Amino acid sequence: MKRTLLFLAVLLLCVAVKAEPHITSVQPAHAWPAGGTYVYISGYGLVLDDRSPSPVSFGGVTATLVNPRDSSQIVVIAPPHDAGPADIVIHTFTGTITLPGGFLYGEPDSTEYETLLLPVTESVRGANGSLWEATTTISNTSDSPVFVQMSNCDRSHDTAPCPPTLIGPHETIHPRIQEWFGLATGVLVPRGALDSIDVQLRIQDISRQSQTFGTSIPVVRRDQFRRVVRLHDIPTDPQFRSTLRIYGCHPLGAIYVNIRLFDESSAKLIASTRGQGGPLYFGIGNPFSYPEVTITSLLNALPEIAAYPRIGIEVDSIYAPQDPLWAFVSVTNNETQHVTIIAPD
Amino acid sequence: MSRIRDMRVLLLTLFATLSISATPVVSTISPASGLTTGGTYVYITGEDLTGLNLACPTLECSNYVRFGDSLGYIIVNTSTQIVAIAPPHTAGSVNLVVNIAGKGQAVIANGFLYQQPKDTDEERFLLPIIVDGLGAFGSVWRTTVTMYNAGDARLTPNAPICNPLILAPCPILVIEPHQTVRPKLYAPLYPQLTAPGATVRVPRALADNLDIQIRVRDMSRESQTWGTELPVVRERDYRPVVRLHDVPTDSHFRTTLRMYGYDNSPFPIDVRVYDETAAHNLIASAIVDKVALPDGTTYAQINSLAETFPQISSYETVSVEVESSFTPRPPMWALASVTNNDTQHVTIITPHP
Repeated sequence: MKRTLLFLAVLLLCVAVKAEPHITSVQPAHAWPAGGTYVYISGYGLVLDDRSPSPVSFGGVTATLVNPRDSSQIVVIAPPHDAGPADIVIHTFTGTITLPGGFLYGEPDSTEYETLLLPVTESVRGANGSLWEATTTISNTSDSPVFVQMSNCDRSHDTAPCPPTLIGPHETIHPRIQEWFGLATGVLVPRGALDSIDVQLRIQDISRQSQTFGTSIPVVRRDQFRRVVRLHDIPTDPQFRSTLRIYGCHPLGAIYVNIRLFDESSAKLIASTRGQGGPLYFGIGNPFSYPEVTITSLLNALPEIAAYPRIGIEVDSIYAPQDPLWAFVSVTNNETQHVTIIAPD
Repeated sequence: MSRIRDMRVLLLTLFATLSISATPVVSTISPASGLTTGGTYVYITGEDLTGLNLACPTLECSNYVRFGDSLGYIIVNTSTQIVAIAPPHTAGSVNLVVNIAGKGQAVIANGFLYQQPKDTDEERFLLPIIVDGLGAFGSVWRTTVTMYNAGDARLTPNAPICNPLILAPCPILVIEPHQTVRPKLYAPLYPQLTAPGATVRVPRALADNLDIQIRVRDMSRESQTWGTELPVVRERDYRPVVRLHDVPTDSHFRTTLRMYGYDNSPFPIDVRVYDETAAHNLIASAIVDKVALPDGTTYAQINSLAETFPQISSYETVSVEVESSFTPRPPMWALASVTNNDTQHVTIITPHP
């Protein structure tokens, strides 16, 4: 009799707990002290009490609501807060949820996450009837599920980054990744899972699909960015079009770069120019976007290089010499659309 | 009786808790010093060095070895041994922290000493394909190597610039400051091997001054393509398991798998091919013998994946996993070259960085 009563009491407690609004996950669970990170809070019964002056707060500071989606997920922008843990408090119609120390302010990129740059992700029509398609392959080689985050959802009416994507153990996915507000994008991988997540990127002119499997594009870790980027052995022959792409590594910042072109046989400076790139809207940024400078045709932009058969390029930052950059040149044959990628070694 | 049973349960629970939270123990670190440029393979032995599978994203939920404030790259991890590649660091002693997921940390105060490289230390660069000759379907392959000295000191890389068939004194390759050179390199000779790579050795203190770019091109179709660039592989790029994804099986292409040993260890290589659409569905596997090349490295090659593993033809793309069939697994590197039989356009598939 006693056992039956105990069983019923436990069952009642479980049902009561289940019915209470609660949080099941916070993604990501950390941000810079400056705030601004989009945070996805999932759970049960998350119907916000709109009478509350502060429906969602982090460490007592009200968070900006982005997209109250449904009762199972809300999206907020983390407010500024001192470094350290902060309680998440959510006021719902059926009660208040508190997650003590549920959010950590600090330097998430340097400790918890690694961002991998995917330099080219858009599928677009190109010159001479070409139809370019980028294929991204992400493979989880471990026995545990891993959350990664990238621009793989429709954000035409939504400035929030896409929610994290779960990749199951030994699963391979081919996400369709898009640029985010004109910025190059990357994949955010938990640092603890970095060794078990493989990312590959390939572009292919699918109008000539039977002629080539395409060209692999390097996927770049942040520690591969460097103060000076040098690229060699770039042809100036007009049968090729050479496009230079330069990336900064600060998601919220713009980049201002010096570009110098050399004759490789004599080390003589042939031409120099400057470029700038950055977020289209100040203040918009996410941890997996990159400011970018592109020179679509080196020969058109700097015709003086035509007198030299091959050139070298050197790129560095104008105002912040220590800021790391990464760059590459794609050399495309105008007739066959074969692409050669010239990247730093 | 009930008390005794409760006590047993308590003891068992306590024992289980202690077992789960057993702190890892480090007994030896060898070598306990390395160069400031990083790249030293550090062998750490001890007990309880494998972690629990934790699905949380924080760094503490993973196994890591930290040298001072920088993380090393783990290439081998068994319960009694970790092999980690030391990251670059300024000279001096640093604490070595071994974190094992779910079990805790071992902190060895001043456990590793970073030293400036000596003039005699060299770093090795692998140039994966060196070719100058006829290929299939009338192709004429040539590798172009571009080297640039970005420093202010003269560089004299140890590179195979002399034809091994001609027995004559070989000059030294000299690259003056800010000079670009395009030397013709020769792959080591070995019967029945087509275009293995070449090794270039550079004084470690000056290695970061040397840019190397390498490109292969079918010269019979020179007007159609600038060729395909290949990665230059540094010592830190070698790893215990190499995985290559998105490899096509279409008969329009011939796919060659090239595998490079870090050292001259004679152990054969396990090659496994998976269906990428289904989690961990093994389609085929083989054991491939490496050959020892005259330059002190080892190499293995599968000329055609489709001919070696005909069963892969029913899958659109596959992934390939390569590792040494010996424990602990010696580090290696690999690539797949995918060549269109008609246009000879080459796509290079390399491991994730």
